[in-house]
Amino acid sequence: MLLRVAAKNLLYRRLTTALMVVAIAAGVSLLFAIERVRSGARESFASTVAGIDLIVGARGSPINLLLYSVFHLGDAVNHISAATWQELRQHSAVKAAIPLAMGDSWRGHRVIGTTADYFTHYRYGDQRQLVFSAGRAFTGLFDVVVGHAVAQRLSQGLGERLVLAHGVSEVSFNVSHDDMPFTVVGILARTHTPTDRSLFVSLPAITALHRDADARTAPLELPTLTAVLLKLQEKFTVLALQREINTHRPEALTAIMPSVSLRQLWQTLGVAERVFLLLSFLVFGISLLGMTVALLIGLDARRQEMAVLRAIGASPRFIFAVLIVEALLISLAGIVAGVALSYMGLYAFEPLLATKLGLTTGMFTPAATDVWFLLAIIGCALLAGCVPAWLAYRGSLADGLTVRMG
Amino acid sequence: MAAVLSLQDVRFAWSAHAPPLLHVKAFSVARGERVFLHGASGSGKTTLLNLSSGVLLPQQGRLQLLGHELTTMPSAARDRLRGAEVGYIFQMFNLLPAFNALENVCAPCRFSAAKRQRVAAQGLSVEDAARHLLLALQLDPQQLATQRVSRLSVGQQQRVAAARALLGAPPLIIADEPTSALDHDVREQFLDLLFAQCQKFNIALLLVSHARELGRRFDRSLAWRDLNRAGDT
Repeated sequence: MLLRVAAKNLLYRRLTTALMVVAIAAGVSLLFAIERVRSGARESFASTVAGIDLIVGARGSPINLLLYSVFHLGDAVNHISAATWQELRQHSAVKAAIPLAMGDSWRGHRVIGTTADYFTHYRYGDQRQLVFSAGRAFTGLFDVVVGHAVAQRLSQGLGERLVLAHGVSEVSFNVSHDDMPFTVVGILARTHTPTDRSLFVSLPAITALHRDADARTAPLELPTLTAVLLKLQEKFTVLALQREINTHRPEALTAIMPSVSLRQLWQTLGVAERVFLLLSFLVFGISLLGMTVALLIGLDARRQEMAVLRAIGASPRFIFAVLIVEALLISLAGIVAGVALSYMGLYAFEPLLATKLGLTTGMFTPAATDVWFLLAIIGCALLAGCVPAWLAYRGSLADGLTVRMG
Repeated sequence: MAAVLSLQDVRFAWSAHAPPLLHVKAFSVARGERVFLHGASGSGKTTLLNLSSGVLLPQQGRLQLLGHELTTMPSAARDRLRGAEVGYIFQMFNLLPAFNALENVCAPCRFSAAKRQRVAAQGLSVEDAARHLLLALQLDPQQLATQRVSRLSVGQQQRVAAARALLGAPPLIIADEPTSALDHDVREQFLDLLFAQCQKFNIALLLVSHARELGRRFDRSLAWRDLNRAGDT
């Protein structure tokens, strides 16, 4: 009877009900979408680099080094010499030293000069190795390997010839190396990391791109490097080696532990993340307030209904319960619509989020915390429903069977 | 004749500091009796009905419904007793707007097992009993089953409300100004139908109204100013 009365009342006031459901759905969809993007961003962020113990760059800010070497954001102010890379490579504590030389691009995507070690030793997520979805690693001077998102922008795929450009922008106004096209020889499988949005060439290719036309017959030297990723023989040597690199005399260097710097960077970025979450909570709170106000406004017009229910044997507790069930039904409908809306939104924007931001990890996989999250939303809606329900309860006790209208 | 409703030295005020609104020395309604109470609007008649149905409790006195002392009864038990033994008709705004007419008539039986049992004792389902009552009150149950109550005329709404109060044959029907919104002919017809059904099921009727002329049709007619001694004390 309770559910029947509540459902009938809501259907009878279908316009008001629909507006309340839309308001709740808007709040929930925003809250849920932001939470999904937030957790996706956190997971993507944390899984960007794994299996790398130290990142070495020219002396400077650790966060800046992390940003340009791992996230491919910004540029290095200073570079390190190839000799230092060779020195690090031969260090007894080092298992692999992966050089990174940046500065060129293709349609806004970073071109990274490196060695084939990158594909062997670089890890992401829970220690996952890079996998070729097609082709192989570069072997020739003008071979290029592309990430998943870059491959989406190719017209032919493997064998396609690309002209790289200086600088990083969607449309290059700088010098294009159109006399030296590269051939796509490999496509990496999707990683949801900046690797997807990058192109990889050999170190000699970077030198070849930048030397003068009259020096093209000279043997290729190694270019200066942006950073070196180190994988150590033993994890416990990381602090000693970091100290050793940071006090390196011939060249001023900075060595950072990516896991520590990632955490520091996330703490900085986390402020914006928390502001977004706070804003979405506010939107949801306002939606709930709207529902409460709508139910409160409706109460006065519903005194007759309360009086009739009391007359036919309903207790004040029943009337309280009717209002609570109405709030519950509205919030449940709003939650279902809101979650559906947020998933539709995420689905619609998924290609954009994946290509531009690398955010897809976990966005479509319901997490255990989602259940608690949704239960908390229902709990809030019930609390909001308690206000009109309590007033209706008090009113039905005080009014009795008196129908006061106007 | 056994009293369905009995009030003895009942006093009621809205608060401890407020002057008493109602003081009834002795008042009772017998089984099957038709009692008319007339008085000016706003004089406290509805408060008497609220007390009689156990929605309000007096500060003093004895108040019995079918022998049950309402003043000592827990509120949930009073709600159950009202649902089982009382039918109620308001002046207007009588029906649950979200329900159709047939659902409105059946609604009290959803709250009361006793009413359901009395309907079952007639060998009818609740819906069938409701249809019989609607027919007896000259309404078309088929048409009403699908019609919104807001689309009914005031006279039709009052008859639906009467059917709802009569369903399950409660021993007492309380009617609060049920004919005020009806014109003379419709009012007479409504009372004819209501009396016929009350007689059929031996139901007591306590009807309050400001229209004194209705009193001639009842077994007993009382003036509220004679019954309520609050102003005298």
